[in-house]
Amino acid sequence: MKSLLSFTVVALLITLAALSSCALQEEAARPAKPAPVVEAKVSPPAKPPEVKVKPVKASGDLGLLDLEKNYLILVTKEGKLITADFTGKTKVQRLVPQPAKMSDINLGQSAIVTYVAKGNKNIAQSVEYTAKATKGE
Amino acid sequence: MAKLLSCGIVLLAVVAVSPAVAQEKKAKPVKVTGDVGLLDLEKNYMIVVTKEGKLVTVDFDQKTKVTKYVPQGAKVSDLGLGQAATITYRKEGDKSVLDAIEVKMKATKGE
Repeated sequence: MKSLLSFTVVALLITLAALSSCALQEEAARPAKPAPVVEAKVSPPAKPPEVKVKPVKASGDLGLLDLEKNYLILVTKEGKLITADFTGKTKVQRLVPQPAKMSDINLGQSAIVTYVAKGNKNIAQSVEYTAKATKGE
Repeated sequence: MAKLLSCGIVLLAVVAVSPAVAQEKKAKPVKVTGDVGLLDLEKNYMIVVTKEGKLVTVDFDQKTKVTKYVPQGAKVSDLGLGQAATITYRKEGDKSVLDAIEVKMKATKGE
């Protein structure tokens, strides 16, 4: 009787061992999970950096003014010709001279002073300045 | 003899004075552009600071003509050829596009 019991236990153990080895084999044969696919985020094409164009200032005489083709040519003092197009957005101003007093001039104001050297002194003949445009002008 | 002497003196005086006159004539007016850095209305002088950073001290008196230019709106069609103008423009491709045009009007007589 005792031997029968031990035989059953041994048989059970063998069966268990066989089953567990089968399970391990199955697990090993199972293909490995494919690595999760990481979708690369496609960023929109970078905008070209906006280059701020600096405005250029030039002074001279109007050498040509074409109101049909909307352009003018400015002749600078150095004799350089600058061709530029005007649009509806171009701000046109005329500077009208008005007599003024020295006391009207503010500190820091841009001015054109014409003077004559007399001895060790410079005597002003004329002072010209541009008043700031008021709102709406 | 006295006449000859007086003639000589006159001639000498003319010769002596003429360089001074010539020098005075030589004094050409100088134009300077800059910002008013100092304006002394009691001592009647001002200091102009040029773009180059040079300081120019100038005295003024009652004869100094002061003109203020007042900006007024205008049209391109108001402009005339030969007028002195200051333009502000931007380069757009191969073109220059005007932002602003300022034209200095000439002072009429009496101004």
